[in-house]
Amino acid sequence: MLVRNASLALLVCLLATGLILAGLARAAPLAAWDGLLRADALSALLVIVVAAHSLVSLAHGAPRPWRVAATAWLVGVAALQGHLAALGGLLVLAGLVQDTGPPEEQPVWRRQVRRLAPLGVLAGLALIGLTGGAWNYGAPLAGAGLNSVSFALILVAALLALDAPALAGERAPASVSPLASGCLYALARLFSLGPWNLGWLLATLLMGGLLALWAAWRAALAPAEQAAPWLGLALGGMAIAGTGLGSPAGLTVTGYVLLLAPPLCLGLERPVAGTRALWLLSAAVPLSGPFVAGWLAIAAATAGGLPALAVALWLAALLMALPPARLALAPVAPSPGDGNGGGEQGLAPAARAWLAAGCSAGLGLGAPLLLMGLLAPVTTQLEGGLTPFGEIVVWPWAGLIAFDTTRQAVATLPSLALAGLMLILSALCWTTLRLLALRER
Amino acid sequence: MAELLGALGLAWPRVALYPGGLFALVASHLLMRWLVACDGAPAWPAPRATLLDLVPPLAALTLLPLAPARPFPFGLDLPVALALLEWPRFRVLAARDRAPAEALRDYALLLAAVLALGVATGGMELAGLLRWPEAAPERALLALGAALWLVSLPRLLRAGPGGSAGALRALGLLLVGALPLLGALAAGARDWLPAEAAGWLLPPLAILGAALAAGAACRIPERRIGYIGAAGGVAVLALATYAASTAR
Repeated sequence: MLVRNASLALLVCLLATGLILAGLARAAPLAAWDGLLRADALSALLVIVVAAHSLVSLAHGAPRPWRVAATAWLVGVAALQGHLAALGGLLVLAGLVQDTGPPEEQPVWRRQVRRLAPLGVLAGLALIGLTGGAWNYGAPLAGAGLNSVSFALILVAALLALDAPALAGERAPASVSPLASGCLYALARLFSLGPWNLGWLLATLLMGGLLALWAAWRAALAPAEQAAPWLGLALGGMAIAGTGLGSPAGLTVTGYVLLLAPPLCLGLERPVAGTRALWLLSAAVPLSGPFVAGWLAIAAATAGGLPALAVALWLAALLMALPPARLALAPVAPSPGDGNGGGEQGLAPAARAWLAAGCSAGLGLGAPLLLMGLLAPVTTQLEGGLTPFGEIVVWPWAGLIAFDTTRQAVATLPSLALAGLMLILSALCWTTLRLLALRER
Repeated sequence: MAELLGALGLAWPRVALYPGGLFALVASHLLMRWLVACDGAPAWPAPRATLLDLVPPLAALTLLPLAPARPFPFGLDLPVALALLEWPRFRVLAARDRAPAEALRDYALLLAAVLALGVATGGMELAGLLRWPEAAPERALLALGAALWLVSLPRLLRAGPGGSAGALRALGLLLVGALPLLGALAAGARDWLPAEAAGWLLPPLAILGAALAAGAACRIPERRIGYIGAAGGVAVLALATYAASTAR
């Protein structure tokens, strides 16, 4: 119990650190010790995401909480490194410390590949440092060493950390881990070094789009209780596709999806069927978190002039909407029993579902605030490496709006206006239905 | 904030009369009768209307950019409108075992139409569907997209729920398909019809035309719709590639 409480306290501290960093680094990156320690909005985002993921693991009753906390802190500290080798090294260390779950869930080779995936990040970043001679990513000529081999190594590492090879097998992938978020961070961090060439963008786009669609299909086919890891993988695909768009809009998708993954894991992993709160984790529910994530992905692809990708991501979002809805519609499970997977110290499944639903509603309705406070600084600070093909901005007092490269609006989500209108319509419909019921009586 | 509240306050004719409210209730009822006559009515029994089912499609209908309703400053785009309209159908879909394959089969043609409309208008905004493009490839794509949209409706409508929510959904899908038709009519009538008269005359014409086209599509055998869809999909890809290659 003491270890669990200490781990919980450490993770809450990490979350608070991330939030404070997000506030401090909002205007400009913070740097110390000649840039060896460096924190910008992207670093803060990763710290928040990693802390949230680890808190979710504790809520699920992770059997070794100290490992969860240690991994989170290692990835969090990696996010604050300005030195490329230190960043990669800490991710490798986090991979070694990470708890890979019960051995019967996955083949040994896949667990080891996932654990060692950060080696690819380390190799890629080391290659950049060795080739360019600059090891600090904030240095003026740090991007000189960026090349196709290092890029490919980091992209493959991100795919392996997400457990993409699971698509070829029968067994479900592993849940999205802090380590996978760390590898995605390393991929997005390459925008700090300079613009990507078109080949890299295309490769990332294709990988991400394919991963999202395929994993969403597997999620829709899997029994609803076991769909959560596939949904996590599909979200990872969306994040990679967003990064591959290489635009502020694409990076907004990546950031939002990373923030959405922990609530989805919280509600959908080892769920209790028949909980109505699970509806709010379905992308089909207007203004929920997954709905906004799907819209962001479609809008970013449209703003980037890629309607085919937009349609593919739309289909992925549609398929991803099915498992949570099925779970919500399923007959109520008589007893959650050991549905916690042996983690009787975690939260009760129903409590997890309601908490996740609350987070999803908050992320959906609060998307404009999130964009202003957390995601817009990320895109602003990485602007030097991004393409101008698309931007998603706050539509004041209405919601979100996506612009293409000529500043023409290409997609609109007036979430606040829509919520207001639906409130009015609900009142009208309720009155009408009551009157009809009275007349029938 | 004042702008939002002002817009919502000024939207009462949309909410109460047109395109939502009274118009939506009457038109959806008439459309369902028309679909029954054309063998395109939903096969699912009509569930009792609930608030949860009625509000999303009604919200989408209320915000459609249809003249002569007063413009609403916060318009929808295709993904949001489709999500709102398809909410009643999704609740049916989620309850079935064969949902993924069914969804893929039902929505394939609709997504091809969305692709065509997206490429033709350069975005996903519903208001963009009303702008008849200058260039020939985009014009052909918009027309093809609208045609595919209307052809995809019978399968979608038959698979959806009946009742009031299903009727509102059907009307919404039909009206979205009518938007490009309205744009084309407006472009054709620009020189000889005053704008104010066009605002009153053309929307009923476009809606009527779309309803007739949907009714005709309902009479096409399922298998032939598959062929039409495949040919349409290939044409969309070819035209989209051509449009992209000639884009400035």
